Amino acid sequence: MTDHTAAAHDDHHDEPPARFVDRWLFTTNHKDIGTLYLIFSLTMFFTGGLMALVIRAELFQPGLQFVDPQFFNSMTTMHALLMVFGAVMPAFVGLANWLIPMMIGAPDMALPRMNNWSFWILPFAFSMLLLTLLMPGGAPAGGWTLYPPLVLQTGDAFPFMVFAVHLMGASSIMGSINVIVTIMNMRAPGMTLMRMPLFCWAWLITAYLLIAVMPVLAGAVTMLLTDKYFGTSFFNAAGGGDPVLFQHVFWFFGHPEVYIMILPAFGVVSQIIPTFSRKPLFGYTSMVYATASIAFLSFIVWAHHMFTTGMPIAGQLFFMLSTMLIAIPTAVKIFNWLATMWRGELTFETPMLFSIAFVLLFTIGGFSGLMLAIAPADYQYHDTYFVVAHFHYVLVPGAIFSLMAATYYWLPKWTGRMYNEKLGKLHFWLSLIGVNVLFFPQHFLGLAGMPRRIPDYPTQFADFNMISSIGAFMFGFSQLLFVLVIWNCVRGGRKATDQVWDGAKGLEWTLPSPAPYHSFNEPPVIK
Amino acid sequence: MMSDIDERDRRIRRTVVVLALTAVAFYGGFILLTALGG
Repeated sequence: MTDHTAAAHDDHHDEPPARFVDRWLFTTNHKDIGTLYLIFSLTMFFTGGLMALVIRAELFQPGLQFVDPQFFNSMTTMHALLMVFGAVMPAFVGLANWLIPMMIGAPDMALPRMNNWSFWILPFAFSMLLLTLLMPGGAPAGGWTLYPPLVLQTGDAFPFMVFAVHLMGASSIMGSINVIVTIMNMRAPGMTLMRMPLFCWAWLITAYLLIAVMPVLAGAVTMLLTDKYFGTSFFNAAGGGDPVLFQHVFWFFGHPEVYIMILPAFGVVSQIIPTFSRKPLFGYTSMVYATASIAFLSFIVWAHHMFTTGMPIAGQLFFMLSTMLIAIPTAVKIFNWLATMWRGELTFETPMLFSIAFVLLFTIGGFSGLMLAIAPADYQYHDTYFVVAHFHYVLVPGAIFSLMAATYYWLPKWTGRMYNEKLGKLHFWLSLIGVNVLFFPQHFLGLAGMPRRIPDYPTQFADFNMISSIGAFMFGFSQLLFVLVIWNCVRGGRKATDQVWDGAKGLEWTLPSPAPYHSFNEPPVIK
Repeated sequence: MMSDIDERDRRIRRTVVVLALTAVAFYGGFILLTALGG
C-alpha cells in the first residue's frame, strides 16, 4: 500500500502543475526557473538592444538628429545596465539552472524555493529601473559606472536606480549561493569535482566571484544614497570625502564582474567544441586551474580602469603588470580549445560556428584589452571609442555568442525538437558580419580620438560612425531570426533523439529529449 | 543516528550560512573601509 501510494505520488509529480500560475509563479523546478531566466534575459536583450539602436541611429551622422543629449546619455546608461544585469547575467543563471543539476546527476538545485525568489525579484527590479525613463529628470544618465559627483545630479530616478541595483545584487547572491551549495553537496556518487563538466567548474568559480563582489557594488550604491540624502560625505570632497575612492570601490566590483560575464561563456564553449571535434577536451585540468587563476587575478587589476586619475607610478606599474598576467591563463584556454579541434573530426553545426567565432573574436577583444593595459598608451585610449570597441568585442561575440551557441546546443534537449539548421546558420553569418561591421570601425574612431558617451561629433568621424551604425542595424535585426528559429523549433521542429549530437558526452545526454520534468530522482551511476 | 540525508541537509545549511555571512562581511567591510579611507 505504501509503495503504491508513493508510486502514485511520484507519477503525479512527473508532470508540471496544470495551472499556469502554479507552474510559473510558484515553481521550484530548476528547469522551469531556468526557462524563466532565459525568457527574461531575452526580453532584456531586446529592450537593451533597442536602446543601442537609438544610440547608433543618433550617431549615424554628425549633428543632433533624433534625441536630446540628456536622453542620449540615459540610453547609454540604461543600455549598459540592462545588458549587464538584465541580459547576460540572468541568461547564464538560466543556463546554470537548466544544466548544473542535469550535469552532476542531481534531482534539482539544493535550495529550490530560494531559486524561485532569486528569479522573481528580477522583473520587479528591472520594471523599477525602466520606469525611471518616465520620471521627472529622466532615467539615470551618468553612465553605468555611476561615478559621483555626476550621478548625484540624477533626478527622482536616483533612489529607484539604487534600489534596483540592490535587488539585482540580492538576486545574484542568492543564485550564487544556490549554485555553490548544489555543486558542493548534490553531486551524484562518483561525480568528483575533477570529473565535473567544465561548465559546472566555470559556474562554481563564477559564483564565488559573485558572492565577493556583488555586496561591494551594493555597498557603493548605498554610500551614494547616503551621500545624496543623508548628509554623509563618503565621496564628497567638500565634506572630506574622495570621489576617486568611489572609482576604486566600483572597479573592485566592476573588474571581477567582467569575468562573471565571461567565465560561464568559457564553460559553454568548453562543452561544445569537444562535441563537434569528437574528441575529449584537451587539458581539462589546466582549464580548471586557468579559470581559477583568472578569477583570482580579477581581484588585483581593478585600477587599470583608472590610470588617468593620477595614480603613483608604482601603482600604475603594478596594475599594468597584473593585468597583463591575465593573458597567460586566457592563452592556456585558447590553446586548449584549438588543440581540442586539432585533428578532430570537425563538423560545423550552428553551435560550433558560434563557438569558433567566439574563440576568434574574443581573442581580438583580449588583445585590445592588452593594449589598454599598457598604462602610458592608455592615456591616449582612455574614454575613447577604442574602449567601447574593446569591451563590446569581449561581450557581444564573446558572452552573447556563447549564449547563442548554448541555446542552439541544448535547445533540442530542452524542447525535444531540432531547430532549423539552415536558419540557424543564416542567423550565425548575419550576426558575424553585423557584429564586425558594428564594432571593428570603433577601434579606428577611438584611435583617432572620438570620446565615448557623446551624441554628436566632428565630421572627421562621420564615415566610420555611419558604417558602425549600419552594422548595428544589421546585427540587431538579425536577432529576430534567432527568435524565429527558437519559435519554429518549439512549435514544430523535427523530433530530437536523446543523444542529439553524436559527439556529445555527459549526463544530460543520457536523459530523454525533452528532459523529463524531474530527472535523476535516483542518483545515476558514474563509472 | 543521523542519516545521509540529514547529514547532507546539515552541510547545506552550514554552507548557506557561511556564504551569506561572507556576502554581509564584504558589504559592511567595504563601507567601513571607504569610511576610514575617505
